[in-house]
Amino acid sequence: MVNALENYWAERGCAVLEPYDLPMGAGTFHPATFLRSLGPDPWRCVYVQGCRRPSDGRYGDNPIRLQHYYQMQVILKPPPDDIQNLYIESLRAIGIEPLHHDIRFAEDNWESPTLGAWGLGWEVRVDGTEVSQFTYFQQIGGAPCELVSGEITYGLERLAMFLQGCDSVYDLVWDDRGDGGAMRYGDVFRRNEREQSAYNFDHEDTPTLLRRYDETENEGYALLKKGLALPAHDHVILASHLFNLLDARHALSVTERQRYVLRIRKLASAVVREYLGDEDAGDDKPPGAPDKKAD
Amino acid sequence: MADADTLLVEIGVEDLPPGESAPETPPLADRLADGLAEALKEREFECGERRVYWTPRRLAVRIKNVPAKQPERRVERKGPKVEAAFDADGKPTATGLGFAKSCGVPLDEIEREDGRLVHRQNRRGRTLAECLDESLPEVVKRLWVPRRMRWTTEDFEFLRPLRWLCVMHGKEALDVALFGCRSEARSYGHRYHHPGAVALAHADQYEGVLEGARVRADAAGRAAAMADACAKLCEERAGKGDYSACAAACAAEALETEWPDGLCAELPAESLTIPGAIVRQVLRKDYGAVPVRDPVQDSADGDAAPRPEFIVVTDIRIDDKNRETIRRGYERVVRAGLADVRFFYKRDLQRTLESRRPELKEMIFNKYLGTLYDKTERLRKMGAYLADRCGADKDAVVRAAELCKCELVTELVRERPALEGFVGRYYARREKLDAVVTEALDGHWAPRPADTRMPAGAEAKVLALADRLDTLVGILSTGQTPTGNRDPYGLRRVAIAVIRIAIEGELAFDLNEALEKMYGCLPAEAKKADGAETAREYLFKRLPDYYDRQTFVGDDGVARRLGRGALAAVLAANPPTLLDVHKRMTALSGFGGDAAENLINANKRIANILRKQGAGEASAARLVAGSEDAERALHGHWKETAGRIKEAAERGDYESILTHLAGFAAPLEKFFDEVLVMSEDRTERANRLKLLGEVRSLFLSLADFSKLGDASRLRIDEKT
Repeated sequence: MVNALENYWAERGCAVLEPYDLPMGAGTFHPATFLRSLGPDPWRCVYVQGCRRPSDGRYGDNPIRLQHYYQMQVILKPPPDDIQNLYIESLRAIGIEPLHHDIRFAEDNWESPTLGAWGLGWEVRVDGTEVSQFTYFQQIGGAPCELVSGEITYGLERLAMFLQGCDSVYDLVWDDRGDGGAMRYGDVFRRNEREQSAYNFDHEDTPTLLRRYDETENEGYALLKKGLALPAHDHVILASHLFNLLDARHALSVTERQRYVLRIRKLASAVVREYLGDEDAGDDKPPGAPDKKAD
Repeated sequence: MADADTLLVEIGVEDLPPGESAPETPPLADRLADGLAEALKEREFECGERRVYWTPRRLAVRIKNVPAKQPERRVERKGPKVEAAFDADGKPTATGLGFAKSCGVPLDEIEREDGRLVHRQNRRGRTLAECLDESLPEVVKRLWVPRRMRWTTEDFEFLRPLRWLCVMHGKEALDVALFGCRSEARSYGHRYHHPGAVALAHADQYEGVLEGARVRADAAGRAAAMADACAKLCEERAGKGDYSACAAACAAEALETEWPDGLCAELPAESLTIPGAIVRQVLRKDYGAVPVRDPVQDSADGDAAPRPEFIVVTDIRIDDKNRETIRRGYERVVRAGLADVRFFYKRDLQRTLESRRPELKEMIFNKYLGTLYDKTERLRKMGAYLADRCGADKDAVVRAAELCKCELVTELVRERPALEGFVGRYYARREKLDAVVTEALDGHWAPRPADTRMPAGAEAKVLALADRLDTLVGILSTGQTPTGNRDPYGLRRVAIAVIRIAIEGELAFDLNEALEKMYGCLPAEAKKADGAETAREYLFKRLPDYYDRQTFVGDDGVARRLGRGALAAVLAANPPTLLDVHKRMTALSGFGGDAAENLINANKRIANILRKQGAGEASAARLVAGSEDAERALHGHWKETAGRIKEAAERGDYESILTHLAGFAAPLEKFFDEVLVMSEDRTERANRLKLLGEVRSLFLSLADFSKLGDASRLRIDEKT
């Protein structure tokens, strides 16, 4: 499935990239999305990204909730006129025939307060299951997108569960060896979910995390002073992950939480200015944007 | 006109968000049609009957009998004075030559009239295509949409990307451009059933051609067809019964499709233990599905027998090849979703609503207005105040005010914000809270966005009103007045809710006083603007929208709307309550015919005379019967009715006031025919002015009749 999708998008001019090597809440943090969707240059890529959402962990007990899962991310900048059809064809490439299913584009606008980013688009549902997010980026790091990008994100576990008709993610066949035995998702990840959830919820050391958050932030600004936007962006990713860990631990009150979100947002905005070489690429609040959970 | 034909404008878009059918704003396509018709009228095009079409992927309007060209017109341009255009020697000056040049003719062909240059010419009528090319982008830019986006390098902005444009006049495709799309003589069919373009040979064929391409563009027709199909599905599966609620919901879902169909699927048995309204809400919001009947017997919602089926509305024709796949897909996802809901619901039941109240201190309502806890404290005060005035049980309202926001900090609502406003009542019932309190804390969410029913019960209405007033006056006080594109607190909706609760809920409370009281409850740091006054103005600005959609059925059985003049006239008489506004409007809906025209004209005359004269001269006079017959007759009629009108006004009986006022038509007409108000005699003059002033103030006890406008446009019969 992953290969079929990668090949499909590679044939349509997307550079096939690899996952980024830092823990992140969504594929959007990958520099190939976050930084490349800035500025006027066209760009197309596809990659798989492992995502960590500490608060979504359930010790491996919940059939649909994971603290670590995979997204496939496609960036089309600028979005071609037939982008919706291209997407539907990609579903066909993995065996989802439009006339055999109820495929719907349901309004779902995306916003990331930590990244100072928002866009409008849909979640795509196939027979009721949400399998993708589809977003036209409007603003990144507080700066309006000079050239709009179309972002398509496939939730790979969801998609695989849909294709295999599984009720539990842990039953997904990861590798069918053909001899009756199959390696399942649970064989690969259940222990990881259990232990990572224990860390996220029970064993994190809050003072250490807070200290590391401060250090990461300081280092990010120090790098920006030296004109190093990409390494500074790594620190946005790291700080954001530390924030998510703190959040899972319920270590922050509502007001504090807001403050920590804004600190990352400020750093992200500074990275954007450095990356674009534009002092004025500002941070203006999205119009009427409600505060949503950080991801 | 020989060249008049049908005009079709269709805008193709990527899937629009739903909710366009919200009662507060007319559907986007209707507003597009209004804007377009207005732009055409401004450009002197006749417009015949029009029809509006929309689906998630297109907005279209078809207008009959539109000419291909503007009428030719004689245009007159006045130029400079002759002395300025020619010097003393009769030689043309730069001014004269300049004017001639701007008219495009030699100076000696320009006429002179009254000492000025005047140029007259026949202006060529511009074509429909030219005019649309110029006006369509303006019309679309002016449309209000909740949020705009860009999708190309250009600065085009709309709700979703624009993908095609079809503008046809009869058989001809008009060359019009909108946001980078050029119109062509074709539309597009259903995304999956009929991908690709479909040619249009004539604008009149629009509906039929799309039908062939598996798109039902007529929204009402689509909804009605789905309602029928849904009722059939329900009966097939569950036998005879009343499925009207399910059918209505399926009809609404059908609006979000181009070619709706449905199938029946089954809820998992364990979900039958979750309250029906919660299941219904989850199914609707997350899956576009509708339960055949609420799955749990729910005493507040009637005694529908539990049924485990639900209907899925699809945007694809269901056949034997896909039915099972789609049904299984929905059943699987619904099972997982409801399992999640049940998990949180059960956990929530372990705690009382009261115990959650402190958590509201962590939920920010607004930077200046504080937390939701602060809001509930204000609702206690405001609820008590309104309860006293509207005959509600004060203690119950105050108790409900304390608890009404607690459901927002339950785990279920934190997990699924779409359930806001639907779960509190179940927790309250499990706790065995007082029934009136339970009804009030539940009812205070009404009217809900997807369910426009009014709250039931005086306590629920009062709390619902207090909550809306807090948001309205509070947010306006912080200076965050909504603009065309920014209304983050949904104040439009809030204002319409205030109007509806007051009028339809029949709550008679003094509006100004209540707004002041509300303003007084706000924290000092929120008082950046006069919120009470701004809120009053804002409510009055929304009233015309409300009355544009309000019909009054007369004694003759005809449904009518009232023109905007009626509302202006009523508001000019300073009604103390919103309910009073409505009573006056209702009375005016029975006002028409020749008598109406006479009375309006007489009032205009009186208002003019009094305005010119001011109050000075008449005020000191002691009113006497007067010298002339017509004067005495009017005085007599005044004397006879004044007391009765005053009495009726105290009762709020505006119908009988109108009857009494109608009696003034003849005496007033006679008075103006025979009596000279501005008599040479000062005493006579003062008496007559005084009499007119008194008569006018009788009229003002209903409305300012001089502001009613054209009598023929006062009432608009609804098309049946």
